[in-house]
Amino acid sequence: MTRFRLLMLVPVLLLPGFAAAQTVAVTMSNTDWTYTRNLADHIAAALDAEGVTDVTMMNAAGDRQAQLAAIGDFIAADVDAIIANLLATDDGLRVSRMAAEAGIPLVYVNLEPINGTALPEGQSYVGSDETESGTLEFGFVCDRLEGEGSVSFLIGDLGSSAARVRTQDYYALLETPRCAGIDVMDEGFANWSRDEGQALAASWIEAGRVPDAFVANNDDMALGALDAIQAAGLDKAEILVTGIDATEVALRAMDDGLLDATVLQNAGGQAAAAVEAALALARGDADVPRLIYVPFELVTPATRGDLPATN
Amino acid sequence: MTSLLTRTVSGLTFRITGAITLIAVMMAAALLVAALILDSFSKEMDKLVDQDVPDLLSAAEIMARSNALPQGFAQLLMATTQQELETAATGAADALDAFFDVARTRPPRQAIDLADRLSALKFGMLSLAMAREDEIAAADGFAEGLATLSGIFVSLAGTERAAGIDFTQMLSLAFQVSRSTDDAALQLLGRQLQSQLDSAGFALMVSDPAISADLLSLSEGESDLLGLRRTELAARAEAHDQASAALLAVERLGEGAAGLAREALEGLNSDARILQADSAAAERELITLGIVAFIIVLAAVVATQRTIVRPLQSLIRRTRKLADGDTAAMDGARRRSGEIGDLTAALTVFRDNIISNRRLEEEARRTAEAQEEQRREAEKQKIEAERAEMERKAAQEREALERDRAAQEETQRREAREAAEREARQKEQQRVVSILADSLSRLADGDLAASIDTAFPESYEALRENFNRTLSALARLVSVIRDSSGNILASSTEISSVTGDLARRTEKTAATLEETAAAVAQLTASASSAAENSRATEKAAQQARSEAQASQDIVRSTIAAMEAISESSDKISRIIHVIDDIAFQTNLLALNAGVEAARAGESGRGFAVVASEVRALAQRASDAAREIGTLIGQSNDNVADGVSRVAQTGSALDGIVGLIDNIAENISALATTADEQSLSVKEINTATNQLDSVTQQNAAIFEETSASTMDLTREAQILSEEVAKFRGDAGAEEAGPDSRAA
Repeated sequence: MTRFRLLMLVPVLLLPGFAAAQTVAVTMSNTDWTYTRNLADHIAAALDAEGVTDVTMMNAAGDRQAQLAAIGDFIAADVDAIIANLLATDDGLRVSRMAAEAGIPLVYVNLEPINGTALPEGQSYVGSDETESGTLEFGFVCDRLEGEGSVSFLIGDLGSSAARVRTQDYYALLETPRCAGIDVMDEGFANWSRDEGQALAASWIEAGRVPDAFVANNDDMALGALDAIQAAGLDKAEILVTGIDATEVALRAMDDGLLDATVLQNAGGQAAAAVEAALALARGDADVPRLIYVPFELVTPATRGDLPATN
Repeated sequence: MTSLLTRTVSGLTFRITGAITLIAVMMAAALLVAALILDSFSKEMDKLVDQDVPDLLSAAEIMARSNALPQGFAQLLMATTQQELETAATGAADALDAFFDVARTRPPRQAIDLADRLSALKFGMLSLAMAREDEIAAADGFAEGLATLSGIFVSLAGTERAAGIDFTQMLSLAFQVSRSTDDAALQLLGRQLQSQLDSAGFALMVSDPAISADLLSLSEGESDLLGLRRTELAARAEAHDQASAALLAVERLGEGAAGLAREALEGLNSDARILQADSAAAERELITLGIVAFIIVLAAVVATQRTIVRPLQSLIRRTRKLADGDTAAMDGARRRSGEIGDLTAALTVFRDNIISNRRLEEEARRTAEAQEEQRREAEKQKIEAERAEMERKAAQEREALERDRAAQEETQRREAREAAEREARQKEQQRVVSILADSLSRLADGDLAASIDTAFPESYEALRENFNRTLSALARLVSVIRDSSGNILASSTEISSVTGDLARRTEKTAATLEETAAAVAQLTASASSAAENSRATEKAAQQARSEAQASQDIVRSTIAAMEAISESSDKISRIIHVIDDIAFQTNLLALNAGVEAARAGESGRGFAVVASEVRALAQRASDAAREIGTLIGQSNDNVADGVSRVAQTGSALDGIVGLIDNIAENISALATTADEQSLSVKEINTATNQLDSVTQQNAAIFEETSASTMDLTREAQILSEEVAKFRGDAGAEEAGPDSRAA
């Protein structure tokens, strides 16, 4: 329904001259991160496609204060809409208030603000429902193991709600008949990092604890587990390794027959939905939903071919 | 085949090897048992150090932190300026972020659960801070507006431009708005204030445009007084709600933390019990092992003494006696098997030879005596024969003499040969005995190279071979003993080092636990101080409350004073009325006097002037009285206004008292929680101290074990030294008697 309504907006937005004189300001968390860089590129492309020429693109490069200051500047400049990819979920309350007081439409993208479920009028969050991602990933593992075997979880940073929700997805699946015969051999925090993932998986392998599958909260940690498996000289064919994000490096690993599954967080889809929502809010459309979810997609070697070259 | 087996089983090699094997097996068993004990012990110890203690510490830390959180919230609630609020908010955010770090030390499931609660708490905290920020900003804006209004009042009061504008009324309304908490009352007062501000603003628009704009801005727009007050009230309500929710969340967090601490304590307790049981069992096993080892070593020593040393000593004794010619030396020698048996048998044969030699000697002597007898008999016969022959044949005499001489010569030759033979045999015997005695004495001195290399006469060759074989068997045995004792020494050194290692590790664990105990003690102190802080805050809040109540009393007495003033004013009004009446009467009298003076004509002219003056005076008195009346009326109004304002202040104070009550109640709850948590932390402290003492005891036990193992090592060393006393070249030990014979 949500998507349908958004799709209905597209022809309206494409009308010639509609977007003329629109000013849109965008702030990105850190374009050094592959996914964020891709998201920024997709947003720029989507804005260009909508005919918005007056675009301010700001990269906070990991600096929270700089990002808050930039949003203050956008509001002072009275832009028509703001698209914010926040660095810290905690800043959501303040940013929302600043924008709401100035009456400027605001769309959060990718990172859910702490007030994501209590956004004021004229603001939306575009992202993907994390209860889907973990379920898609671990469900695939359970099916491949035919509901019997052992798994080890590599968990992201505890402070991030994505890491918590994805891991809770795994736990929830363990209670279902689909994964009832699966035992959790080990689990630990690797804070999204390939190096930490490698170190953690290597310590388990060294202790003689080799599971049937390494299930990671993201692709980088899954790649770390693959590094550990190769370093220990184990037979990769006997161990499943899965991640989330479908990054370029991860997809190459899948093409090399190493990664068994990942979950695509559709950067292009999120960018397009965020731009659509921002322009609709700027136009005064009161029907824009507060929460816009772009579906996750499971990527396996079988479905690999359907993907775009980059995400 | 059977005889070979019997020889092997009864041989010296077998006996000594058996004894050494027993000791070696015992050592191996001891090592194995020690290793097993060590393994299970060190596993438990590792679990305690790597898991249980950190678990307990992090649980205690979570409790201490959740204990400190409400204080941060209280600071947020009590902040009165933006700066104070920002400090409190930063402190609370830092405390929560640090809490995440603690959560990371828990197992993932618990960590995620904690992080979810923390995340919700953080949202509550941020919302609370935001609401408080709004409230303080609105209150500050209102205060600023009020200051503007009184500034305008001071600058315009009394001027003509301000005529018709009742600033007192406006200020009074604004003050009431600033204190009103009821929505309907606020609406009413606010509308009145707005309309007055508007009319004043419009009135001054031409003469004082700046002031007019100020007044209008207080009525509508960003600095709208009513709006600011409403914002403040809404934000306060929001802050209150958020604080209640956050307090509830903190309580749940504290409960969760207490649960974690309980679990950690239970885990620690059970593991400590296992450890204690393990150490008791280990002690028992080690003692049993020690006793068994002692018995076996003793048995081995006794067996060696009985089966090897004593027979050898007795053999040496007997050989010495034999060398001294005592053939009875071999009497009563026990029949034995093996090398010593062979040696005994050979010596017995040797003795038998000596005995038979003696018998031969005796026989030879007896033969010689018999021959002498024979010869004497023969001589006697010969004399008789000579006598007969001399009588019979003279020719036959020469022949008979010839034959006798030949027989005599033959006998003499035989006797000489026999004597030489006896002498040679005696010499040989003496040589054999002396070589044997010499070699045996060297052997007795521990010289294993004392083999007999000189060939013995054929009949004694078996003796030499047996001796050499015994010697080489002994040499081999000594080498085996030397090797084995070397091994034993190595094993016991290893055990000693392993036990030493265990003792060191136990000591280290004890030290770690001691540190833990100290850390927990510190934590206890901090928890108690947190509880004390909460109590102090509670006391301060109560003091604030009593001060507010005292203020209420002052307000009440002020109201009474005001009312007294109001009453006095009423009385003054009445007096003024009387004065006015008198003035009126005087006026009338003066008028009458004037009329009478006019009637009197010229003579009354002076009186008329006086009357007119009196009238003017009466008029002035009347005017003055009216003026005073107006002023008193005004003052009455002011007093009434004051009374109502003071009454408002009273109700505002009521509100404040209520608010402080609320805060005091919250803080009291916090103090109770803090007390409880400090109690739990104290329990943890006691548990850790107990654990510490148990581990210290274990450390002591292991030190003892280590000491006894050192004793064992020393024993092995002594054994090794004893064996080393045996001399002997490597060749003699390695080459067998057969190769030497060949």
